[in-house]
Amino acid sequence: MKRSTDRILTTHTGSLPRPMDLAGMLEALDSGGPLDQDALKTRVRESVAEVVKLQVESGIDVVSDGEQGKVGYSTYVRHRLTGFEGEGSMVVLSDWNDFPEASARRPLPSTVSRPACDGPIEWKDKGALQTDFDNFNAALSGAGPGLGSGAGPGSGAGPGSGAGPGSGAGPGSGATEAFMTAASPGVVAHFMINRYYPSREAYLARLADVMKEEYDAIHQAGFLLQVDCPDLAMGRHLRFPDLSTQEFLKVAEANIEVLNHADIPADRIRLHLCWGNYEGPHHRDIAKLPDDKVIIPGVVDSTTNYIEHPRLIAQRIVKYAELVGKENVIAGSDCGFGTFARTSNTVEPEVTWAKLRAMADGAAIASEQLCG
Amino acid sequence: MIRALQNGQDYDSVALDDQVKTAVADVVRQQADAGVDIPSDGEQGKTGFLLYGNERLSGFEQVAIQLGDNPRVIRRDQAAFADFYEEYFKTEGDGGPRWQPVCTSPIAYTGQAIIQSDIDHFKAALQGVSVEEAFLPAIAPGTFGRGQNQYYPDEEAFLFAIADALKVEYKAIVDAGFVLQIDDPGLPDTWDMLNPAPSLPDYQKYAAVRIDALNHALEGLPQEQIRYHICWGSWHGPHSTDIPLKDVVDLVLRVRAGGYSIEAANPRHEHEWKLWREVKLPDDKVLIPGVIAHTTNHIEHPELVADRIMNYAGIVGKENVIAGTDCGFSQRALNPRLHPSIVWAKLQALSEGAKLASKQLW
Repeated sequence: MKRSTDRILTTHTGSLPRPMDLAGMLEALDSGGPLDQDALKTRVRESVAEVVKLQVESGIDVVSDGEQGKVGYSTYVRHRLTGFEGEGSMVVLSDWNDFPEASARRPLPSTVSRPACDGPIEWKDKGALQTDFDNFNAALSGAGPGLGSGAGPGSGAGPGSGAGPGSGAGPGSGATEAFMTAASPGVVAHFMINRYYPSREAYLARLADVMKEEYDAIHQAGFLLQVDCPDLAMGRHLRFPDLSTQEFLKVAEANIEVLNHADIPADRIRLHLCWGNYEGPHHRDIAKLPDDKVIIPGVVDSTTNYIEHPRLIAQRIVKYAELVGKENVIAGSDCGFGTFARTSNTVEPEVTWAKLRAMADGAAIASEQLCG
Repeated sequence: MIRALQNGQDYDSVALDDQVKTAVADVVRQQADAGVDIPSDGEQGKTGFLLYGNERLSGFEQVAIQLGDNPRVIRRDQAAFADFYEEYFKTEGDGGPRWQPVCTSPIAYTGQAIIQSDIDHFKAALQGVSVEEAFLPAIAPGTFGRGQNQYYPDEEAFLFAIADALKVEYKAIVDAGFVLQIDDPGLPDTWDMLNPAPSLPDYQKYAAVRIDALNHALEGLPQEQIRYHICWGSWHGPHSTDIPLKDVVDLVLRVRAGGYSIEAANPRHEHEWKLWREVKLPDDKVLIPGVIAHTTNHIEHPELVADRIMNYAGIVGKENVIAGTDCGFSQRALNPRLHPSIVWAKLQALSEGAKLASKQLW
């Protein structure tokens, strides 16, 4: 994983807005409506190329494929795995429930389906993974120097060494590194409840075994793996509001335990944590962050159309840098900007790109202060 | 009833007055319960923080406009974010027409009975609650008077006529023993409404006349009983073309007020607290930064509120900081920005955050 050795790097959480027509196709895929599969494939490939280009233009260093081909960052797995055909259950928005009158004003939740697990989980479409890699690699090879496939080792240019080869790409000149997201076993279990395996532990263990193949494949394809684990935080108030904090921490620990059994070097994995990507009261959010090596704090918000001022972004970055050291901070977004494919986005796509540009500007200001 | 009042339809004025009285009593009690030290009457009887002037000033005719039609309401960032605004305007407004007052005859204050009723209701509501102080807001001449003059020889004469009229209201509020809050979002937020876009010096000149008119209205009133509020417009857009505080702060500090209430808790203006390292707050003045926002349903964590307060206290001194809100929560009666239940939780968070900061500071 690249670190902010010469300047503060920028990244985001993974999902980015999909074009309206693509979002419509993904919704059809999800609901089983009529769909031209070839048209979908072509559109996903084009959109990945487009969002990679836009990220580079916006000054994002560590880029993703924007999850353009996924219907949602967690439930996409049901299109690749068997066993998810049961009747699901919605999560409980316990924070909104504390404000019953206000909750009538909240935006409608995503209609992406969340079936329960009602049968053995096996891979049914590994080809989907290869398609992700191919699309992303094709997009990266068209998006500037330094990347194409697995950004090799050879970062390491120490401070003071000046123009190190390979790395050192200035802002805007191209992506520094590429990451791909995958759902954690815990977040799959969060959205798609178990009605088949004898226990929660058995369900998680099976999900971990199956998802391990996806994690390993992403690693072997040369991408930085981001495991999405909002279950560790939002699970508290959305799935387990009735548990005590101690009991919830046990659930979270079990989710982490199954995660740790992927054997990929720690510096090739980043973990994303959030408290639910919605503009609700959030007063029940639990505050306990697992330790991590590099911290990627959200410095732009994915729930408001206000564009963060670059100077505010810089202040936020500097605050973290002062606590954990500037090399250990990468500027990120609170959550994705297209967590579920939907035809109406919380943050409009054009505002999303303006926010990412503001983040790059803010990171440049912070770098000036921190790295002189 | 407020809708009928706003649209010039018939309503039962006795019943309205009665309901306003009850509503003011309720919001004052709720503010006290939430731990707010300096409450307002919540503007319960007003159609809007600005629109209410229509009921109290003579000389204007009301012309109905549609949102988007009024050239003054077009924001400069609408060009950059056209798709966003197309979606946003579908959710904005109360569905009814909005009114633009046009000045066609001499301006005078005609709201004596209404302001007296505001004062009476507020006084009654404050009986039986324990608070430090109480304030009533009133509109600034420069925010009320923007481009509607068809009678006075020039803009300056128009603005000073509004100032003379509003002075009656300002004086009534101060004489009743309340803190007078002058609402002047127009000072910063007219910047990105003017067409064609002005240069900064031209805009500062445009704004300076408005500050002169306001100071004319405030003349003779005790400064320590006046606070001056600015914000950059309460709509939930990108705000990428807001004028920076540093470009208007000198004008703000020219206002003859004892306190300055400034939006500072949203993604576009939160960073500006550092400006006070460069700009000296005059010794006898108080700063009232927004530490909770009207722009999101997220309830600010009390620790974040405390951090924000600490930032200001560290620069201007703890005695000179009062924790405030970015803006009102219901600038127009028919179009509240947030649901009331969330507003009260936010005000609770505000007072909890102030307690945390106080513990650290004292």
